[in-house]
Amino acid sequence: MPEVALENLTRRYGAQLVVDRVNLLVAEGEFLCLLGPSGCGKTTTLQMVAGFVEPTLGTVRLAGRDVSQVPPARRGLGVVFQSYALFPHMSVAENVAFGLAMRRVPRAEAASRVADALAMVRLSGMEQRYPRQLSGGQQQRVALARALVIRPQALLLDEPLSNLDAKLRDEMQLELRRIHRDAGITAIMVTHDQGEAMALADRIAIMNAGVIEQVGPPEAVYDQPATAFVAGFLGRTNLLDAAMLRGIAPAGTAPRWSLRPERLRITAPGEGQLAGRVSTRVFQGSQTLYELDTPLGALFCVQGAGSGGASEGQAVGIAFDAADLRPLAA
Amino acid sequence: MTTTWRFWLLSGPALTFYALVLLVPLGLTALLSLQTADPATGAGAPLGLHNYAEVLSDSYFLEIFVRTLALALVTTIACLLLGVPEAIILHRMRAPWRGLFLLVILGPLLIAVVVRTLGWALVFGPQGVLGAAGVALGWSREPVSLMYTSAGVTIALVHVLVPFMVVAVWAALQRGDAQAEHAAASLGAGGFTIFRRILLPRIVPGIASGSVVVFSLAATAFATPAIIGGRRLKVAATAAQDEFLATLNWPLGAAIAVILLVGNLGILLAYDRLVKRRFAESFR
Amino acid sequence: MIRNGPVALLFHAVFIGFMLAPLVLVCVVSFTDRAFLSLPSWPPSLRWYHALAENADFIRAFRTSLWLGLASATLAVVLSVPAAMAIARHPARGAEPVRAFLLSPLLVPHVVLGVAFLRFFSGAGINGTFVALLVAHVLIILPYALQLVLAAAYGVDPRLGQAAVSLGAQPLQVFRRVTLPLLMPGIASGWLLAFLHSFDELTMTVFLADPGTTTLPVRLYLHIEETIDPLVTAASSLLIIGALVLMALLDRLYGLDRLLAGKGR
Repeated sequence: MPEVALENLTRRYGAQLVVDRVNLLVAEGEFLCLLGPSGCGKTTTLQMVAGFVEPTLGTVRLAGRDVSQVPPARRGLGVVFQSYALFPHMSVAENVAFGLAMRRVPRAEAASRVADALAMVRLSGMEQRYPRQLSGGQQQRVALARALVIRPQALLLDEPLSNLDAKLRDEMQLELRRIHRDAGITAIMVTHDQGEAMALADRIAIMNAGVIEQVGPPEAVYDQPATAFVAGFLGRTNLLDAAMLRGIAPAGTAPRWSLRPERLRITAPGEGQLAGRVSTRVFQGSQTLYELDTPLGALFCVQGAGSGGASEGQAVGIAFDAADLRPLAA
Repeated sequence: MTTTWRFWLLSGPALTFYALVLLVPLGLTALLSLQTADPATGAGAPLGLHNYAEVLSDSYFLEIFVRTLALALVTTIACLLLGVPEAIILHRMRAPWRGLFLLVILGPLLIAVVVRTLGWALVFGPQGVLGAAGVALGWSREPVSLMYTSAGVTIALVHVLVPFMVVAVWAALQRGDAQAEHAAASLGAGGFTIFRRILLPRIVPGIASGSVVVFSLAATAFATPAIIGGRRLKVAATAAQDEFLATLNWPLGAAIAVILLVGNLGILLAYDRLVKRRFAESFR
Repeated sequence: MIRNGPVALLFHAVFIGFMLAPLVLVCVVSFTDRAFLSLPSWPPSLRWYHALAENADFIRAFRTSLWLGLASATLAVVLSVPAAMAIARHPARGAEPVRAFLLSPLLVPHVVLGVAFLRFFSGAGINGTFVALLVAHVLIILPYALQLVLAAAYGVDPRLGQAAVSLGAQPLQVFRRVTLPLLMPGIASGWLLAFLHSFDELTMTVFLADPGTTTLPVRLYLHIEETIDPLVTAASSLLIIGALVLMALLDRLYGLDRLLAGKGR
């Protein structure tokens, strides 16, 4: 399974710069998530890799070979669409066999490969069904089998789980991880769901306004966000100006800092670095959310279950480790 | 780019066909209407607006145009009076009946106009049902015939065109929220209030588009006025045919055709600009 | 559900009677055994249907209409399919003028088209020929075919084409194996509707047909102009039955209510 390289990939529609000099190297067998809000250019980036959209500038390489001029039908990439794009007039088996038919794979070999692919996505026995007879999760699996059966150089997934309900989405996340591991394939997935990205990806690339703001393993981008956008998009955070922190915590030279809500501890009044008051408290079972009134403004705080509690209106102390303050680029 | 190129390549055959077979003939007709009738060659120089001047000043043609407009107007009003209530009645029917009667009303649109008009010729004719019924019921001594009368043409035109009105109003009703009527009823509104406050605003765009379609088709109708109205009761379309196939004054016939085309397009486009804009949100 | 009152139901009954009466009358009169228009006696007579079967003029006109309808509907669909794909796949709403232009024959009165084609074909020296009729009919029925094919084309998810391409399909393979099968219901119903409109057309064809290429509606019209006899009612009854059969087919294929009431005009 070869690596995928995006070099200076750029796409312009008229005056609008949708994707701006994206550079990414996806290693062999790696699962990379392109994460960002809608309209950030992540889908356009994926479409350029697939070959459906022509880059204004830049290069796509598969295993080192420039495929920018190769038509999408010859790139040999497996694509899974948000709508699944199953052929409604073909049975499950015909859908999965389509790519093999295009490659003129002999009938007997095609049949066994289709059976293997359906077994991998646990749909054996469904061969003769039509897409409209399948649930959303099953359609999703057919789409995966259809993309994988052609033994693609890499797998491209465009918001593959966004049409599923919450419970199915969790199941399919596990399934996707298993399939990715079993197939050992390089995969690029586009999503706007940060939870999905952190659950699935080896590395996350966070896009905003056509630019990649940060790339790294989920833990790294979550714990050490490089920009205010990344800190805010990946989970909730408290954004603090350097000026406000003077005298409270030894801050470095960065102008803005991020402090994750779960890094704050509620203590007895008079303890900790800050004094405050609980303005809102929301109990969520495994954790409790607090909004605190402090000299730094409203701070957002998450406490695990069993960490005691404070009621609304109560005066509290607030403690944190200076090491949990993360510097942000302007 | 490739998208644009593909677009013109795919639509090119149809567009070329239209340019050759729609634009060229219409252009030639406009040119013909400016020429002068010539017994030897059919039409020739000098060019001018004299055919239009003749058509628009000659009382024979003026009467035809006035009759055409009057017939179209009366037909439209009759279609409104019949089609709008019928559409509302259909809308209030239950599932199997509604579909069945919709088919009964709209199905005739797929049957040739000659055939539909023939039925009325049987009703109106001298040995027709209407005359016979009149005599049998003692309404008149002589069998009454509506053949070659404006009343007969209007009734037959209404029969041919009223499905368009029903469709337009019915479609407008479908676009609304069926629950609104129930909501109004639950708030204490009576039948008339529901009609005036809930149904009427919803169907006004349908009434407008239905009226325009019916008027346009009535003003340009050929088969029905030709069969029921005959040579005695000419309208613009039958007059144009007469000039081309009987009198053989082609330039004059072409002028009538151009007036018919421009008038028709004028009404349709004016409607499109005025009414459709205003009701844009109700239309989608 | 707000119900219809007795007055409304009476109105409805009269309305339906009004819609059906002339058609029923045509069918009833066609079974007479007399030489003139009259209500049939029992048992119904097929005298005028036999007469119709032996009338060479009507038979020839029927053949002309049939071939004209088959050929023009087929050509109209062949031109509509690529045009519909172009319009449906065009990004944004840039294809709107092209769509409006291709539907524009609906706005031109048929009598005007008759005049225009008479002039055009006379100039080209082909007036009265089958080819001239064919060209004219393709133009007037193409909008009907296009509307239905276009509705089907809008319904085809463009991602299906991309999916096929990503699986290695070439453009022609995408069309043949994915797009065309999905357009088929629209193509079939568009073809049927176009055929019906060609088969029924009178106003324009009156200008263009000569004795050798007279279509059935023109034959009927010319006959009615001279005399209304049971022969035309027999021919008309057959047309009504034919239309009913095609309607049933269209209903199976597409849904008649959607076909007739679904579009704006």
